[in-house]
Formats: sequence, C-alpha cells, structure tokens
Amino acid sequence: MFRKILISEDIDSISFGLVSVLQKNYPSDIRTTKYCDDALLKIKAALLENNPYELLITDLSFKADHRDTKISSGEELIEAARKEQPDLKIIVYSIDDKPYRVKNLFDNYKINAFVAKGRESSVEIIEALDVVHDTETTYISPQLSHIARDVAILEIDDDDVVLLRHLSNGLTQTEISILLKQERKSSSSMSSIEKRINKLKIYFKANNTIHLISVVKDLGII
Amino acid sequence: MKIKITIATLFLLLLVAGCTYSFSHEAEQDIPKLKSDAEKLFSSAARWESKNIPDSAFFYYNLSQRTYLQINDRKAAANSLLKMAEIQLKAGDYPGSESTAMSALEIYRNKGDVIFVSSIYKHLAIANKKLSNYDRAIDYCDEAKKIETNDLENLKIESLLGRLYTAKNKYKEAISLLEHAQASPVIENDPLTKATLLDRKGYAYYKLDGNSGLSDMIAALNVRQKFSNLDDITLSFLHLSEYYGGVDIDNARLYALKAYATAWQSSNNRRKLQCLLRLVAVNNGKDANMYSQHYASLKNETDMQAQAVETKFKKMLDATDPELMSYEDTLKLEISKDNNRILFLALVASVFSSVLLFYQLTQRHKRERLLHAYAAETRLSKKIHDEIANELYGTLHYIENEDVVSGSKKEKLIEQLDNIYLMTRNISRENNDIDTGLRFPVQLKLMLAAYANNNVNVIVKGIAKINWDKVESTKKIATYRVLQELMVNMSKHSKATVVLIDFNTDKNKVKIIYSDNGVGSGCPKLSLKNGLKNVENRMVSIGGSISFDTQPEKGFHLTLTYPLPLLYV
Repeated sequence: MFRKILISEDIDSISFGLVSVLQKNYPSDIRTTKYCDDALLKIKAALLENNPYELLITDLSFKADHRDTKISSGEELIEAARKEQPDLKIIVYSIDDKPYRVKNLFDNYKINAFVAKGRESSVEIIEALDVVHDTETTYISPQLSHIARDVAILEIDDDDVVLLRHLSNGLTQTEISILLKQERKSSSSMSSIEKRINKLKIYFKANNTIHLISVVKDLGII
Repeated sequence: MKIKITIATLFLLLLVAGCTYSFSHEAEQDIPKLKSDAEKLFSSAARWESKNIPDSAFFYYNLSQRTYLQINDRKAAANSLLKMAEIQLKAGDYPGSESTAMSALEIYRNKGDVIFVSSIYKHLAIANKKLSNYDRAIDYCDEAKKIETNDLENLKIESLLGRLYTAKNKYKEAISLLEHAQASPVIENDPLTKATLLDRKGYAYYKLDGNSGLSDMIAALNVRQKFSNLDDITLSFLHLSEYYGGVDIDNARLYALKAYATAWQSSNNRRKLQCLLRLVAVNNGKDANMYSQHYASLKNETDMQAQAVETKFKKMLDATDPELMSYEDTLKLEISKDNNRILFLALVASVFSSVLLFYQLTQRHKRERLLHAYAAETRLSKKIHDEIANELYGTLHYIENEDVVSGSKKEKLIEQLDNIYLMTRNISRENNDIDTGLRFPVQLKLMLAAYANNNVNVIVKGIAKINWDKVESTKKIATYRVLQELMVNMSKHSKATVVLIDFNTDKNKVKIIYSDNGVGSGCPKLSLKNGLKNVENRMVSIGGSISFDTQPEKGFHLTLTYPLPLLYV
C-alpha cells in the first residue's frame, strides 16, 4: 500500500472528503496542500529527507487568489514533480473531462490515472489507487473510458465514396474491380473491395450491401 | 462575400473611369476646347506674373502661345510671345528677349493691328539697346515710328532715339530729336517720361560740349526722386557724376557713390556694375583698386547669372513635352493643367481607400468582438467550473459522508445535487477553451468522436483536406462550437445511429456537411429553438451561412459554409 500520499486540491471540502475516504481504507501518511508551489516544495523536502511521497493526487485547475504562484495549473505541477521524482505515481482528480485534455495527460504527461469528480468518484479513487499501486496499467473513470481506449475515429475518404457510387449504380464487385484497375487505383483487387465494403457496413451500421446503399443515400453521400 | 463583390465592382468602376478618361484625352480635341485651354493657360501665366514668379509665368505663356498657334490665333500667340520677351528682358536675358520678340514679329508681321506691331518694334529696339546694337535699335525705332499713331508713344520713341543717337555720338541729331519731343504737349501728362527726356537731353548737351545740360539733369533727378524709381535715380546720379567728372571731381565722386548706394538697393546687377565703373573712374589709388576688385567679382557673378537665366528660358522654350521640363516646372504644370484629372483621381482614390479602410476596420472590429465574446465565455465557464461545480461537488461529498439528513430523503437530496452538478459541468464543458493551433484538427476529431457510443457511429470525412493553417482562429472556434452544438442536439433529440460530417473546401470557402439518419423533422421546433439559433448566429458572425433540409425519417442534413480569408486582407 502507498505509505505516503500528497493531495493538491484548492477546495477544502473536497480535500477533506478525499482524505476521509482514503483514510477509511488505507492507513497512509496523507498530506494536503492548496497550492501547487507548496506541493512541489513538499515533494522536494521529502526527497531530501529520504522519505519521498509515493503518490500525488492533484486537481487540474486552481483558483487564483492573493498569493502569487509560480505554478498555477495541474499540468505544470505534474511536469515539475516528475522532473524531481520520475518514479512518482500521479492520479489526476478533476472535474475537467475534456477528451482532448484528458488524452493529452495520458499521452504526454504520462499520468497513471484519471478520476473524474462525480458521484462515483469515491469508489473510483479507491479503484484507481489499487490499480496504480498493484499494476503498471493506467486507470480512468468508466464514464470517460471512451477517451482512453484509442478511439479509432471513423473516417472515410473519396475512394469510399467512389466505391459506394459504383455500387449504387448497380455494378457488381467484379465490374468495380475492373473499373478501378483501369483507373489505376491502388485498392482495386477484389479482396480490398470486399474489405472496404465490410468496413463501410460497420461504419454505417448496415446489415447488408443493399442496406448500406440505402443508408448512405439517406445521408446524402451519393 | 458581399463586401468582396463591392470591392470588385469598385475596381471595375475605377478601370472603366480610367479608360474613358484616357480616351477622352486621346480623342481629337475641338477648337473651342483648345481655345479655352489656351485662355486658361494665358490667365494662369498672368497670375504667376502678378505674383512675381517670372519663370512659371514664362512657362505658361509659352504653352498658351503654342496652343494659340494650334488654333491659328496668330495675334494672341504673338501677344504671348511678347509677354515672354518682356519677362526675359526684365530678367536680363537680352539676346533671348530679342529672339522671342523676333518670332512674335514673324508670326504677326503686316497684320492689321499696327499698335501691337509697333509695340513689338519698340521692344526690339530696347532689347537691342541693351545689347548695345545701337544701329539696329535705331532701325527698329524708325520702323515703330513709321506706324505709331499715338502721340505719347511717338514721343517715347523719339526720346529713345535721342538716347540712341547720343550713344552713337550723334549729339546734334539727338538734341534736335529730343527738343522736338519736348515741344509735344502730351509730355506734361507723363512726368516720368518727361524726366527721362530731360535727363537724356541734358546728357546729350553735356556730351556735346562737356559743360551744359546740368539744369536739365537736375530737373530730371528731382522728378525721378519724387517717384522713387531706383533705377532711374541711379541713372540720373551716374549722368551727374559724369558731368561733374570734368568740373568738380569731389562732386563727381559724391554722385558716383550716391548712384552706387541707390543701385545697391535694387537688384539690377548691370546698373551696379555701371556704378562701380564710374567709381573706379572718379577715384584713384587704393579706392579705385578696391572698386575694380568689386567690379571684377560682381561682373563674374552677373555673367554667370545671365548665362543661367538665358539657358533656363531657352530650355523652357525648347521643351515640347512635359518630360523635357525641369522637375519644378513639371510640378507646377501638373498643379494647374491637370487640376481636374488630379481631383478626379484623388476623389476616386479617396473613395476607394475609405471603403477599404472601412471594410478592414469593420472586419477587425468583428474579429475583436468575436474574440472578446469567446474570452468572456471561456472566463465564465472557468468560473463555473472552478467555483460552482467544485463547491457543489464538495457539498455532495459532505452530505454523502456525514449524517446531515438520513433515510430516503438523503438519497433524493444527493441525486438532485448530483443533477445540478452535472448541469454545471456541462455548461463548462460546452464552453471550454479551444486550441486553435496545430492540434485543432485532432481536437476537433476527438470532440466529434466523444459523441460516438455503442448506439451512434460518428463518421468523419475529409477533415485533413482543409488547410486549417489558413483559417482564422475565430472561424476555427466557431466551427468547433457549431459542430459541438450539432452533436449535442443529435445526441439529445435525433435518435440517430449514424452521423456523417463531411469537410470540403470549395473556391476559397469551407463547406461542412452534417448529416444523420435520425428522426429529422420529428421535432424541428425544439432543435430550431435550442441549437440551431446558436448555430446560425455563430455562422453569421464569421461571415458564413447555414442551410438545412430535413424530412421525417430521412434524417437531418445541414450545410455550413464560410469564406476563407481574402488574400489581400
């Protein structure tokens, strides 16, 4: 279990809640701080005392107040902390669930877990702690899981449209293959046409080719 | 778009105007137009002359002369030439003045207006006198005298002839001529002419016997001093000095000095030289030396000036095209001759540039407004996120963990709070900040993909075909927001299972087609009220437009179009 945890969260009620949840489950040494600058100082100090933190739980946005701060966002804190202590595990605990930002955190800041603040977050934070501690895999709140899985964005191109147009004109796959060969298109073999049609069927949720044509006609592609 | 058209029209207008204008210039000019042109030139020349700017006056007289010749108005042309000759004479360009007057004479010889011809002869006589061509001067005087009918003018000619004969050492002829002139009754009307006559007569007498003529000269001086014509007074002093030269050298020196002092006040260098010569003659030793040095340097300067003046006028005469004129003259020409054209061009240019400026300012204003609106949205959303949502979440957490209320009521309270929390979070999510840099397409794709789930497939086409670098950030933000709005609408109302977003560029325009296979117009009012109004506003604010068609059970189709930046803005 994590022996020493640092929580960086600027709203008291949340950090109290978080501490109480964590303490119910784990007998850890939990410290809290409201400022990113302080958090970084604490991490440095602990390193000097040879008693480093094992986990950092941080929010992403911090409200500016009377204090001048050098580090004002969660991302900056994560970057600075990682520089001081590369093996530090980090869990981001935030309301912010913009897919782009979350994905960026995993891809570029290499955080270990992302827990979205919500009704289920007290359960999720425990799960996240377990996953991060026991394994090298990452954790993300279930409602955001679509971000983490490498979202294969469904994209089609002009070749697909050409193929669909040929199909709607009543051409068989063999005829299409011959036609594409004449036009010296790269994917003119029967098998690649077959693959393409199957892909399109999945994309457009069509049960068969006829259904596919009907759907794309309704969408106005052809 | 509309503005682009206006600008294009303006360009066209400008072009057409320019063409017609040059055509009108190319076209054959009719005589009345030329006549009025010549008159305009003549009057502007007169204006310059009255302003005492002889160069410009000369230039315009020259132009008017040419124009008059084009319409074969010989008298007016000769008149302009005479004016030019007078200017040259005044400036000290005697040879030039003579030749100009000669050409005037050639143009208008033996034509009806004898008085005019005689004035040309008189001018020629004076010019030749200045050039010390006394014989020719006398010839011209004779010619003038033959045709002159005016008594006063006749008298003046006789007076001049008298002076010329004196210069030719024919004193007796001079005296008889001058006495004859003096007998004329009209002389009393013109005291200056009389003074000149008296001076000349006195001088001729003095030259004859070296002794008489003083009283005439003194009388002339007295009259001249009343009129304070510096040149005439100097001449009187010089003659007096000459007179005293043989009688009383001190007086001679005094008059020579007076003459020099008077000449110094005028700008007539030749007169000054005469005075210096006189001073050298009446002084000796050191003083004479000093005066002769003065004379030498002034002579040098005067010769150079005369040369310069001569070349200047010659150049202007030879100049046939504006290109050959000196820069200054060209400028002056432009000012007057092409006043209309310049005015016209200036008008067009100012209208055009003000339209352009107006367009740019409104564009900039619009951009700024959009960015401000965007900044305000972002700030508010951050506030909602940072403060309200967090606070709500804290409360939720607190109630969940503490025994504030108990039982089923607690569950209900928590559920309601959770709903409010999600709502605030949605507000902030819809208004989060957008990266308008290189990552924009990736971000856009991720946003679109976020609305895909097990029930809905979101398909994107051609997002990479658009050169996002070229799209302004305000337009990127609007694109993002609009699509987000549409996706929210879709997930809330449409029950669609397939959504396609097709990106295209078409002739400097971005065209985005959104289509889904949902219920379409099943609830058009709802979607129109909520999302589409915003979509339309956003599109209009970046100069774009939307068009949509929707049929029951055929899904919902919407096309967004907005322009890419104009190249020159």
